[in-house]
Amino acid sequence: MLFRLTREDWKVILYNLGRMLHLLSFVFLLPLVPALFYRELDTLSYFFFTSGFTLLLATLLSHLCRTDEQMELKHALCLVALAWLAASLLASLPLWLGGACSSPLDACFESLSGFTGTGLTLTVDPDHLARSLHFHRHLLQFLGDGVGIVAVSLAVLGRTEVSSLLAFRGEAREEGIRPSVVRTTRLIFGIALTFFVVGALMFTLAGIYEGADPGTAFFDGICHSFTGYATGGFSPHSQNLMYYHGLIYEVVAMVLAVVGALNFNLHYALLTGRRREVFRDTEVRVFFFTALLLGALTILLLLGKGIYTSTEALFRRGIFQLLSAQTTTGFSTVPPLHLSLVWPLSLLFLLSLAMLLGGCANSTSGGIKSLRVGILLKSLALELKRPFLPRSVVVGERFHHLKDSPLTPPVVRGAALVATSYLLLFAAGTLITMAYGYTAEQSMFETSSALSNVGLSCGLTHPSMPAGLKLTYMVLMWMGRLEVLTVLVLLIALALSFQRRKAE
Amino acid sequence: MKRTLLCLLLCLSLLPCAGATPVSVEDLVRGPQEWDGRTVTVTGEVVGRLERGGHVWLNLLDNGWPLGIWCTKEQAEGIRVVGDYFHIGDRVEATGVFRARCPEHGGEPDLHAENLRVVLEGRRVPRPVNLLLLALSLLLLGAALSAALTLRFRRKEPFLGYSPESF
Repeated sequence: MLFRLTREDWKVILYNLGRMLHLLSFVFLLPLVPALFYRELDTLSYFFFTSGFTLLLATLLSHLCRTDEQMELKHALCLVALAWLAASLLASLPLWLGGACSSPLDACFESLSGFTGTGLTLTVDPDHLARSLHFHRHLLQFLGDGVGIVAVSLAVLGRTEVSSLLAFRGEAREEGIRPSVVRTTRLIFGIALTFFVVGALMFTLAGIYEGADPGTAFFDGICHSFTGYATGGFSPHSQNLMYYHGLIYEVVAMVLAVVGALNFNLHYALLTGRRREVFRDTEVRVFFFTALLLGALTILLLLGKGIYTSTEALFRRGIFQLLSAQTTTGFSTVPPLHLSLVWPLSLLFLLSLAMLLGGCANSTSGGIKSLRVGILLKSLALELKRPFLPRSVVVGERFHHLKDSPLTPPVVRGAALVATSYLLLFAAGTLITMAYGYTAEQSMFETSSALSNVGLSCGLTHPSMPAGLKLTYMVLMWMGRLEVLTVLVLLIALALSFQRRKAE
Repeated sequence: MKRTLLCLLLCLSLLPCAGATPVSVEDLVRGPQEWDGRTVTVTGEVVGRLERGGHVWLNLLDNGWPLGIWCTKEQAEGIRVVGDYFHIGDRVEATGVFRARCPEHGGEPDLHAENLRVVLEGRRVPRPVNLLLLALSLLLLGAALSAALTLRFRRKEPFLGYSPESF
């Protein structure tokens, strides 16, 4: 018997959504700092309006849907799925009002791409955009993907530990670092803030070294640090990282992206002096092994086709693009069209594969995640080994992730479920893109980029892209960020509620 | 005699551009192999300037398509305005060899300028404040904040973690 969400259930969801929006209304005021600092006074009204509208909506929701019912898992999953949509919709207001995007749909695409840490952009003219609006775009990535705004807001405002825990799970961050979720979210926020400060400093120094004026280097440093750690990929420039034309800047971006793609628990293990954990963890091993393997293949293909011959070019273009794809960052050092026009087609497939694999679980990166890939590979190896062993032998496999765990059928089933959902969505997205007349390799590349929240583009994502395709990618970004199941729960809940109303 | 000398000087100054094909940056990006190694002339707005010793990287924007121009400091001397929110940057015409994967610069597509000149000076863009919109936005925020606080105080619920007693 399936649970159907009653009126009281919806009140619990909307009441908590209101509470979350309260915090968001204050977050929308943060771009006022650069707006005042850079004297972009004409942009002040966009942020005041967005904040006021969000606060009003939040107040209405928490007043009209007030309830003393406790949140359960079904509420939390629906809340998280709805919160991402509501937050993106509201965050699109300044982008539309400020002319960053040419239509409300494009602004929604941009803010959803920001919140989900994707980085696919429909900004019309980033080089002439107000710095306050850039700050807003980049902050969305840091808050949405870097720290997980929904879980954090519930940890700050939530009435119970349980509600925070449930929202934490809904946001596809299943493992706690500390026993308390409130402590965990605070710790994640602390780690993110530390890496942001270090990243901003490194980017600023690298920018000055590459020849930019200190003011530009500082602002870009803040923006790139927001999106680098969040493995987001937005940039204040239309050339993305190519604006700096420099190896040092790219190395800083690469290091920050790899840090962001590693599990929060590993950051904590390193901070508490457990360095051996990094080498023992199955997930880290799989991540670096696949990166090395795909990196070697990238170099071979680029060398074989004579695209790049120097070590510097192979590193700055080939390896950078591959790591950007696998960490799901989306920073680019190659013009998007060059990927489909100059690079061999086989590399588009390779980068698509890297994007689908993604970084580590419980990190800021997207994709299927290395832990699941590791579990599935170990399970496959076990199944292949089994026929060659005597019947009496009981074989078992173990994997190390924070602790030694047996490879049980539920663990394998869980990993397979998420991987299958991703692959099904990938197939659907590719077919829809192909239906719009794009080639198979372009469709695969752009779909995996949207689904795994990467942000690399081979030239398809553009304001002139068909509206249907924009909507498709928005759904993929949303489902990809929440690892499919959370969104499916909301859709099923909506369908069942609708079915009951129809029956009544 | 003077006129002949002047004509000769003019011809000599244009010599580096001889054989250069005027092309848009979009053409270079869409057909990199076709233009690789050829001398071309591109025109665009300067949206970025990075000093590298005796050289300068200029980031050029032509109708939304960006390209890096590598030139000497002397060539870039005439550039005064770099495009941003408050400025339309200087519009320059650069002639030089286009490389789809420049071996000197880590394989990035760029143009090594042999000749560079400002064809249109940049200007400041006025960004007037819409006072009516600003007033209405502040009014909305004020109203929302009052409503939020009133409802919370009435129920004696904490607002963003602060209880009414703490105010």
